[in-house]
Amino acid sequence: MNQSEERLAQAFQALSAESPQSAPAEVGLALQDAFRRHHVRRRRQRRLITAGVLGACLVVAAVLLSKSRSSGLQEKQPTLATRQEQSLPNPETRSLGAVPNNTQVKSTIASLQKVHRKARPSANVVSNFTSLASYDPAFSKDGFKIVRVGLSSAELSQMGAPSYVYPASRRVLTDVVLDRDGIPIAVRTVGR
Amino acid sequence: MSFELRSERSHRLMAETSIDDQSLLGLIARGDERAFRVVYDRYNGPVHRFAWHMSGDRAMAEEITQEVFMLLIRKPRKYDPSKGSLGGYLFGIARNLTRRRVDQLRVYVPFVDDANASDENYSLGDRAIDDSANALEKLTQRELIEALRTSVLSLPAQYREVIILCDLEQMSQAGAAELLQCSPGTIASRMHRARAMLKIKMARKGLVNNEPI
Repeated sequence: MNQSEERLAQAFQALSAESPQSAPAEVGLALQDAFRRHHVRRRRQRRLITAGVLGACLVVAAVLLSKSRSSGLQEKQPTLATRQEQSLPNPETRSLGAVPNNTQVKSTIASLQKVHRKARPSANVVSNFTSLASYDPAFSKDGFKIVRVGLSSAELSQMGAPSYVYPASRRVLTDVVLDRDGIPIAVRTVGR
Repeated sequence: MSFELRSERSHRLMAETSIDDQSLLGLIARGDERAFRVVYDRYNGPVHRFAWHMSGDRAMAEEITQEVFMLLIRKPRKYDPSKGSLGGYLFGIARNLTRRRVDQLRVYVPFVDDANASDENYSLGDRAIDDSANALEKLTQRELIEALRTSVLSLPAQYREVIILCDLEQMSQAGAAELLQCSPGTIASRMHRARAMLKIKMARKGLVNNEPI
């Protein structure tokens, strides 16, 4: 190493030693402050985003739940109707004015009983449906309805239902099967 | 109070034990202020010195240091350890920022190029080389340092950064090559040329003899 190089190396060492060893303290403090502020802001943003996502999830869950409920109800109703339709005897195959076939009436009523039991599980059925004289399969194609009403023994007997087991003054809880026109075609007594 | 003491102690512990930069960056991303302080303590000096030597402006060096670490605060995951060390990454940011700033503001120290040998500011010329012994006696150590600093600043950027990294920051040529993303051979040749240029500049100021390297 020649003299000039040595001199240059010495100058480098001196310049290096004279150079600041670190940035001024204010820079460090400002950066620390900036770090704190940045992370406070980030945490706040993250909390907001989390709350937003949770809210959106809840809304979606609520919408899905309400949709599934309404679709469940819609599904139940057509099932009831189709069951009723399936269970009903085909009136075209019967001759008009024919006496109702007891077995056919029984099967129709049995299917209605099934549906009715599902719909009202709390009711205690005392007797099976008894077909009334007004039942005519030729006219009642579909749209059977079951109505629960309180009837007196006299009213039951007027309809043609057996009511001898109850006192005349007592009102009996009765399921009445109505056809599309609202004519009662079968009854049964129900106790609670 | 006790919390501060505890956090101060853990901070010191963190700084002393060499927790790797990647783990520290993970902690920084999660908002650990102590981890940030450790990284800052490790790298603020070299980054600040580099920016200062490159720009020749203390205020600009402070701003650049601040910007480098602000980037680390905002995007700690941007650093890819497969591409090099964290120090190199921070130096790289500082280098780009300094170059951009210097280009924008044109804050150049009076430039003494080899072609401008007749510059009046440094008109010692050949006479200074002949009388270098006398000139050196006249110059104080401070003047020598200042002359070297201005000479370094007047070097073209690619030579200046090599001199700053290898001669002032005592970085190995391999380290500088990794940082500047060029081959060690390129660094060696740039070093050689930069030193030769510096010697000429210093000789013109009568500080060294202009002997061939």
